[in-house]
Amino acid sequence: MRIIFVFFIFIAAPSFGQKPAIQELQEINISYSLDSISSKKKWEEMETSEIEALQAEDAADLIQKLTGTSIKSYGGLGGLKTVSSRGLGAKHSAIIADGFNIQNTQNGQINLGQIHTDNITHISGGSARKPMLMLPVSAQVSGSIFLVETFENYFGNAGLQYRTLGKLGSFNQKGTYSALKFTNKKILLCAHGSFRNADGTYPYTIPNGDLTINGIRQNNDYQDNSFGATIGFKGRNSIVRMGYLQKNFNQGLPGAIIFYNTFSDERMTSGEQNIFVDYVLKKNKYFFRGFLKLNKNELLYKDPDYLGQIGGLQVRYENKTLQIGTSGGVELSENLKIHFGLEQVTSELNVSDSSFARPRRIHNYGLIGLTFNLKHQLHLKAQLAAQYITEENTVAGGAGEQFRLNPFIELTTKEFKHNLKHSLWYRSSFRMPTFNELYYKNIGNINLEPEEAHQINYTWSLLPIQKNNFEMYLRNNLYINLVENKIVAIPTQNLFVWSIQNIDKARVYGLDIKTGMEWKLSADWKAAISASYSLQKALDITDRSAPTFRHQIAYIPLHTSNIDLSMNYRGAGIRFSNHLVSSRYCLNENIANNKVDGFLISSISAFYNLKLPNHHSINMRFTVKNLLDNSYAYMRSYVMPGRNYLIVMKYAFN
Amino acid sequence: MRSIKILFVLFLFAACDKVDPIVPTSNPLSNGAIVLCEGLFQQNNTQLSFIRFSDAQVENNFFLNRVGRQLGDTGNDIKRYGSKIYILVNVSSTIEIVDANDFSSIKQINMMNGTSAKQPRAIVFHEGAAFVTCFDGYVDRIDTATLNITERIPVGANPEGLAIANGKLYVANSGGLNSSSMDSTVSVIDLSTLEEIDRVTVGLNPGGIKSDVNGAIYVITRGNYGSIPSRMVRIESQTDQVSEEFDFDISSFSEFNGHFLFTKHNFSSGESSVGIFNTTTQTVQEEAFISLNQVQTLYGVTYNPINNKIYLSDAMNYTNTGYIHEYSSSGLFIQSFHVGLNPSKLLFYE
Repeated sequence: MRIIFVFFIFIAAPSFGQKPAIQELQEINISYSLDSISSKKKWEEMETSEIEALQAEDAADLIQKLTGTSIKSYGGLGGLKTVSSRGLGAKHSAIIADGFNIQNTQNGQINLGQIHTDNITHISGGSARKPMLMLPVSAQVSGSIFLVETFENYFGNAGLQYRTLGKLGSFNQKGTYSALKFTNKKILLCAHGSFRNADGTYPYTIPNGDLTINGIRQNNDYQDNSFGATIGFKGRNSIVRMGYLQKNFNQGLPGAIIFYNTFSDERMTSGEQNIFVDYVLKKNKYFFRGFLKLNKNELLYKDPDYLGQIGGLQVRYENKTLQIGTSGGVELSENLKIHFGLEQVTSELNVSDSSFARPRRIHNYGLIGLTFNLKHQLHLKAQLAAQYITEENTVAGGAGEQFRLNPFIELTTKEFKHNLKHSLWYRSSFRMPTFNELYYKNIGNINLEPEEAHQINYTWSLLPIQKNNFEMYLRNNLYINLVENKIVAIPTQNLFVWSIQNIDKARVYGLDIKTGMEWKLSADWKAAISASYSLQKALDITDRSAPTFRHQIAYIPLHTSNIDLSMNYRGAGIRFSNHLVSSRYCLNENIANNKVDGFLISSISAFYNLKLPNHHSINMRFTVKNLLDNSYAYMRSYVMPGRNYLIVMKYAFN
Repeated sequence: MRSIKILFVLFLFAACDKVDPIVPTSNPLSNGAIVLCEGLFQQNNTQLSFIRFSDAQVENNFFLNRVGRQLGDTGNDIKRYGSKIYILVNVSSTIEIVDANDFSSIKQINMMNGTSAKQPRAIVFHEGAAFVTCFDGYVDRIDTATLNITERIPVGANPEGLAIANGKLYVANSGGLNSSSMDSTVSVIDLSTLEEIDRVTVGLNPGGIKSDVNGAIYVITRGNYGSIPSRMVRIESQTDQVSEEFDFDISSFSEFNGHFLFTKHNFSSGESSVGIFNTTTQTVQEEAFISLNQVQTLYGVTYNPINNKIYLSDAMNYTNTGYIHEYSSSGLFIQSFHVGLNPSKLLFYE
């Protein structure tokens, strides 16, 4: 069963503006998320002030505030956390950091727990987005995308800038982040580094029949550090950036809380190195982007108590990826623009176990699209993506070739009276089986087909209404998704020997509602409330005769909601944040034995910005998380921490 | 305010559950079967179901209802010795001992070796002692009076099934946790000295093991679930030599009036069958003894000598709750019982 556990370890803004996408690139200081977003109020996104107010420990804490998302968290600082959007599954989600996908072909999902938020200045995403023409095609064709922008890779304010912060928290958590950036009209220079550490030994309670078990989470320690540098040059019409980023992680793997046997001493040491080059040109009615990224992920897994080998189990994995691509567009007339993209991603995996596969995948992407202004106040956007994948395995047989065509089409109205706007789109996408799913020893299946997704979305928006000192917005999405050839792991030979199969089919009906209101009570006082609700009816429709037919898919909550209240007085403020997740099932069969209870997590944070002379400032924040000290779990047998505290002090220059 | 609270509770727990009605079973337990439902790894959902033959009712979550807590993670074996029932829970690494009459808990033996889980797999009994294979490469001897572990006997890698014949204990060493280098041997332990006296090579990945009425030992070697097929071999307990290798597919077996009912399941095609192996003639008497129209995933076979009926375990797709299908001794379907997740072993009551 350790084999299975190892496998699971490896195994997480739409536009309402009228400005054409290309015109929005006139400001050459590009933010990749902005190429289709108007200057008006944005929706599924958070800026620095909100990110800081939320005091998120990692990207998962932020992303779960976006509507339609579901987080799977195995708990603890750095613990595995993945995101899925609208019932599609985590491997349909692309995480884009500063214009590049965070890649992991081995397990196909990104651990959001390892993405700290101290450098994040902007985060947005989900399924409901329009084509973002500057992004790599691999990102544009994914089922859902989440965009992260950091302080380090953008020009920003001219002159010297400095950020440094220190944090202390429960479970002996300590962290620091520093970045020094210099920019002028032509040059960007930035160096940065971070460190986090926690022993992770939090108390928990878990019910066991008539009993309540009180325990301490052990082997949950976590350390990470990162450092990197970016250099950029800005010309009259272009920008070129180059950078290096290294991250290192060392953590205990506490595993599930197994009744009567809670000991664990498994460990994982991992690291990644990234080098990137990014060039963007905007001239007249043309834009062009060329990019390259090299990524190397290393992972060492150790299980000293593994009973299959004397001395335990130790396996080293090395996953290398080269991403190279281009995108561009031209405005042919006032009513017609076309865009294109080409990309190749080459991935290979080496494993210390000589019997393991040595797969190498070449994934080629091509995309062409257009934006057309129709009559009757309608916009049409359409694009077609082609993907061709080849794969070889130097140890034994490899998965075969794949070719897919995936269309996207969207019809949008212009603003009508009362700031109303409508949008209807269809997207076809798929995700490839991961190297683990194809080749993992005894489990992998080289005959797997890609998992296909079809999404239809209708959006009705009430654009921001401003009246006197009051502003509000409202947005609704209705959607239907179909997922075919779902890749799932099932036991085959016996309960300990599983296999990966393309067997499931799911249909997802969903609704997102998001609203926000803001009052300027006086020159000094401001109050705001934001609320969102997501309904995800994700049904198993694999087999009419199966007992799970039309049952809710495992771990997708039917209801999720966020309600946040904030009050600001000059530079000080307080924010009360609530995240609600309804009950879920740990397996597709919706019976009482499989139920995982819903939860409400409330946090409160207070902050104060002290502005000092000569552009110096100090920001202090104090947060109480899980205010009600609830015992809760995203995943069965993985209990999350109770009430905990975090204090942060940040100094900034410029 | 009250309505807001109600709405909040509804929101948190909104989901449509299908709850099986609990049919409480009275004491002392009789005329039924306890089904060990293994559950799934890391789900803490091993459970027992009690099938009441008198009115064909099933009480699921039987252990939880009687003992007031969960069995734990991944149950592996259940057997009765005297007035006690022993339940082996592999990942939780415990042996639960309960009273056979009222199912009250007598003791939970924590099968840990320091911080390392022993992972108990299978149990047999002999003259006041229980012998338990542990995945850490030992057979533990438990005194059935004191319920203390009195001995640890080293054997091969990841031992599975065990059987007794001719004053000796035969232990199938699977090595199944190391797929690239599985074991192929059966350890022979002298029950008077509690020492391993021989190790017999039988074939890759031995698992199930049984003795027949003549004292011969039969071992299922499960191969590599691929190119090396699952086979049965016979060991003579007088000589501890392999006397025959049988050239037919076999996944599991159960005693049946002095012979064996055996199952075979093709993991690629999903096809299964239940046959009869005649221990007297040493041949397959019937290839497909039972029609499996009712069975989705055959997960085991057990013969109940008390009511002379055969019970097939159906694991469905391994992630849905399973069924026990009841057949006459001539292989005719009678009825099905809806039980817990991944039903495997059965224990019968008169």
